[in-house]
Amino acid sequence: MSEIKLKKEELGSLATGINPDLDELKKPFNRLTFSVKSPVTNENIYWELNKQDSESLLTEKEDGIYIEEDKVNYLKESWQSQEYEDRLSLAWVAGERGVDIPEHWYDTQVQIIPRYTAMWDDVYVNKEKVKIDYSVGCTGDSLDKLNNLISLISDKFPNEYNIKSHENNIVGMYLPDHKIRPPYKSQNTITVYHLYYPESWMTKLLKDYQCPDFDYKYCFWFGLKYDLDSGKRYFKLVIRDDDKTSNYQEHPESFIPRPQLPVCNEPYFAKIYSQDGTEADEYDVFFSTTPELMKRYCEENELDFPIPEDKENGYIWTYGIVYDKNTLDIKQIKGYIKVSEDPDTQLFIED
Amino acid sequence: MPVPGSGTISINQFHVEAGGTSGTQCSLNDSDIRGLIGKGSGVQMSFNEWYGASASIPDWSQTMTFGQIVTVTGTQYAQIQYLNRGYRNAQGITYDGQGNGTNGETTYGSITTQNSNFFSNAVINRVRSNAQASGVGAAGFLLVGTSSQIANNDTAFTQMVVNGSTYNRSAATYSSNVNQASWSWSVSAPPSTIGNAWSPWPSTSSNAGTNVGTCNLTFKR
Repeated sequence: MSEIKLKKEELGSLATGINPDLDELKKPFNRLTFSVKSPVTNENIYWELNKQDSESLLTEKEDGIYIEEDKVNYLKESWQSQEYEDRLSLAWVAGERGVDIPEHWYDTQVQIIPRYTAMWDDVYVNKEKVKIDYSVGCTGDSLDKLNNLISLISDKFPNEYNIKSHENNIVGMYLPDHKIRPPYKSQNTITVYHLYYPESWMTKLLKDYQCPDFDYKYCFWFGLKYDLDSGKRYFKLVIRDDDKTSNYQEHPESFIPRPQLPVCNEPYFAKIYSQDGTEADEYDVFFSTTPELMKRYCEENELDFPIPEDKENGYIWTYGIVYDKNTLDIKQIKGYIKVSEDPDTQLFIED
Repeated sequence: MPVPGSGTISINQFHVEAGGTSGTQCSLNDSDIRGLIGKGSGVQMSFNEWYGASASIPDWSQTMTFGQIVTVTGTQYAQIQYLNRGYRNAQGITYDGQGNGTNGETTYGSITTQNSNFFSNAVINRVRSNAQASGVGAAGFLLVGTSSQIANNDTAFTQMVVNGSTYNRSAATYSSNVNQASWSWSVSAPPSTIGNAWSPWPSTSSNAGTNVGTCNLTFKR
């Protein structure tokens, strides 16, 4: 834990410092000041914390005023992560209850839908594109690829849930020259995500896959993974992080262990079940943060940053970490870039 | 110009701030100089009490119209609804947190935006509370913002009073860049019923709109 000795800094200074001020009783106090670069606009934003926060963070010693470097870095990174998260909202719009979004989802969890239906995710691992996840609303060549994947599933798994039940559903497959992630065994595996699904589907799947009831809060989407070689179907259950998943002391049974993450928004988790009720040893954790913070996290933990350099300004809407639930060893880091089919409606305008 | 808030200060600076001529004779016990810090004749005074002292400036009071809007931000895995109540002029705002959300904030409410005695005569473009909407229970913040960068000191303001509730500048977190400045305070979570009173704001005449009520707004120095 290193400390920084602070001196008075001028308005807009890039250095961390203090600014003497007076309270309403004309009593002097020092404000903690710092600047942080916006990950959205690249502008430097200058901050002066209030009296109470400054007093709790600053340490006055005989030879001056100090702050722990970690604390000021955390303040900066939290703000940057939130700014990046806010920008990601550009890809979503308000949906209409009962039209775009089933009423039970609208009333309980989500009132937004993707801005465009014709989009896909380019999924990267170690700077290489390994998978493409198509939205059901894609057109043209993308629709052809999507329909081909659906046909492959239908041939092997007749009478399945309607894959086109919602135009924002997603279908994807690893690219031929890339190894599939554990616990999946076959390269010949297709992913389907059902969004805004009917409640009855979840009830049936939880029963079919013998998932234990931890009273988790499930997200408004789930995944089905179709292994075309073995004919097995896996169930990917997506779980929000809350007290039941994060508080081991209060909820040891439902607690979801997780590796240390970078400063990020609220993460969510995925568990994968086989049809015999076996839970995979690998968990997924998904979160968003800035490319800079994620790169540093990867460097510090000797992990592969997933996004190629020329794609770092893309719409990286989430990172996914595959890890062993017992050892917390990280097995894969994925980065998801959402791409709009129409080049005139890209989600980020490049600076 | 007010007496500086730190460093070396002189009785001549007090005299000038009180309206006297620089370099002319004066004393700390002169009524106009004592008046800068509200002291009576012959009482004990410390030089520390003069930091930031300024001649009395009348309060800036007005009746403001406030509006209310619910905004939504979200990505694949998290959606947040925000309740915003107060005044906001979207024009010229380049940096405001929720402005770029799924349905971002627009313009609502109205106030008199400039006074030469406050905020260095900068235009006020926001006096509004923002918090996650009902049911979440998370605290929000009240923010006053200007459309240009001005320094964080008593020449901007010392207190803001909204509908009778006082917010001290010392309790505000300040941020700025070349295009804006803002001061923000933590406020309570919004009411579970969207139109109810939400301190410091009164209840609203409807759930959403550019004009859903009026209240008093005062800045002090």
